[in-house]
Amino acid sequence: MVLRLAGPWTLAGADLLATQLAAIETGGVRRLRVDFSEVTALDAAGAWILFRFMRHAEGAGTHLELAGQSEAQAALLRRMTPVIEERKSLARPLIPPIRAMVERVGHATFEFVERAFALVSFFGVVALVLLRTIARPRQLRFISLLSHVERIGLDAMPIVGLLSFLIGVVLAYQGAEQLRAYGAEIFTINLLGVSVLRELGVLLTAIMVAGRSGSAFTAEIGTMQVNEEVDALRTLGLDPIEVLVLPRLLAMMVALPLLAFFADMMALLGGAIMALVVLDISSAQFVTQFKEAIIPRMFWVGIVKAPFFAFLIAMVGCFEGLQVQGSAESVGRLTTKSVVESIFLVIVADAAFSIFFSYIRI
Amino acid sequence: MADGGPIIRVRGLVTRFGPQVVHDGLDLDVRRGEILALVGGSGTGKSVLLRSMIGLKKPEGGTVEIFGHDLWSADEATQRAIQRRWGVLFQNGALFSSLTVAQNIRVPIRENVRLPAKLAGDLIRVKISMVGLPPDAGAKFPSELSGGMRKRAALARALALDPEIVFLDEPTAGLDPIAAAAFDSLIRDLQQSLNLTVVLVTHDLDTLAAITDRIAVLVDKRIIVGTMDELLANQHPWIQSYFHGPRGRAALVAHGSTDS
Repeated sequence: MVLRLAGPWTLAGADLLATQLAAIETGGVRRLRVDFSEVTALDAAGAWILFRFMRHAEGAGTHLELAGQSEAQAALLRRMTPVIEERKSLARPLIPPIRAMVERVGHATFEFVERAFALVSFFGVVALVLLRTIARPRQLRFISLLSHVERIGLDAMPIVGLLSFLIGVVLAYQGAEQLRAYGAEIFTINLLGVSVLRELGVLLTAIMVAGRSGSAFTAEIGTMQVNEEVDALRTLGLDPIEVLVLPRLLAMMVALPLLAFFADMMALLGGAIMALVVLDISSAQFVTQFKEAIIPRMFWVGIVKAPFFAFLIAMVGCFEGLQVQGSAESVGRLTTKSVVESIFLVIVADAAFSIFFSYIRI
Repeated sequence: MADGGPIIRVRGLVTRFGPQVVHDGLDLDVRRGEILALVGGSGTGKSVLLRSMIGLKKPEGGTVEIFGHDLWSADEATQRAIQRRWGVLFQNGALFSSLTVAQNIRVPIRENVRLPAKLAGDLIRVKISMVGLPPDAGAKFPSELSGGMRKRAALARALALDPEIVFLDEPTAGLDPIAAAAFDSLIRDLQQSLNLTVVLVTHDLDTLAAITDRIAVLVDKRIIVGTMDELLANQHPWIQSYFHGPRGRAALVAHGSTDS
């Protein structure tokens, strides 16, 4: 029997060629002559399909004879030889689903504990470097610190201001709606003042900054990690904690309280404007009632939390950045993680503060 | 394979970055089935020329013709068709880091050809074996491979669609001499058995001496092309110091080229 091949044997027609070849019955054929002389092109895909066919035929006891093949075509066919055995090797080995699930839970648990330890020890290392820097303030990277303050604080002012203003508007409006039933609209101001100054101003600012700057910390440091820039710093005798983490941490602790103060003011402004429009409370009335309702301590109770939140956001952001390994995907994953973790920690810390303040009766 | 004019024809190419002119009326022909190396000092625009030829950098003037089509004035469908007929190996491999080697090779196949999954898997294995990787490399992520293996995996991806032209940007950069020599002979082998046309940018004089058919030297914003022997006889000062410097001599002696 003679098999005369013709035309292009290439990837473009691979599917068709494979089907046609499979349809050829070679069972019982003693000798098969494969004639290449009319093949116009043979690439790896074509060669593979042909090779697979010939292998199959040989396995069935047919003696093969090649004719008319060029030197390059013969070489290409020979290259196929080692491929045939390794069918399963492309996929990662499969693990039974139940075992896989148990494994995942175990891994996740261990990882969680390990990371908690790592984060705590990172806090410790940073604290040491911070103390060292306080002892020798000249080591502090002042320019870097200022530029971070600008990026965290100044650049965030429009968005933080706008959102706080809107929150003030919403609070005043909703408060007024509810209190009107009791004829106690004037207490809207108490509600606004207390909730903004004690909780909302600083909490919302912290959440926004975590999303805006905490994520940036992770992405920046993570990308440096991928480019081996962090390793380069180490070999140059520079401490990445001192160069990368400390300026960000301190800048955050400076910028966040200032931003929180700004957010307080904008929220109160929004509330005051709403009070004027909806409740007809003049600004003079607003100020009088505000003075009555709010004591300075309430402001301080809110703002004192800001540096703590700042500390958490900066630490988590930098920590996750330094955890990045290898790939671009890892930067993305850890950036997400950093935002989720820092917002989580901020809210947990806020709850802890509430309990603490109620305990000491402030 | 149908022969004809040059497979790549660059005419009057002008590349500018702001006021700085990198290529000024550059001409270059690449013949079917040859290995052509682009060499030149730093900043002479080797990589830029390569990027112009693979459609990543639009030149300020001149034409790039590939397979007889003008690359930069062709419509999108033609451009896609041309792209399918070449493979590119980037300097650091540019493997997608979130995919395994096998998945990396599958990307161009899946995008361009309809194949049954089993046949596609076989072809991927063929490619992995052709570039000399062990079979289990297919399941690994790029970050789990050594530099040399990453290069081979990237070459396998470049070869995924059985291209006619392969562009290689510094294929042996960052490899140890043994791995580099092995990679050189791999390129030579594949070029012969797959009937490839290879355009490579390199600084590696050993690569030049060992596997190239012709060498295109970027000097004075243009190109001087020739075989090794022709270039050795060329009197241009940069070419002289390139091939007759201590490193050039050593490479030539090692590969037994005739030194003038």
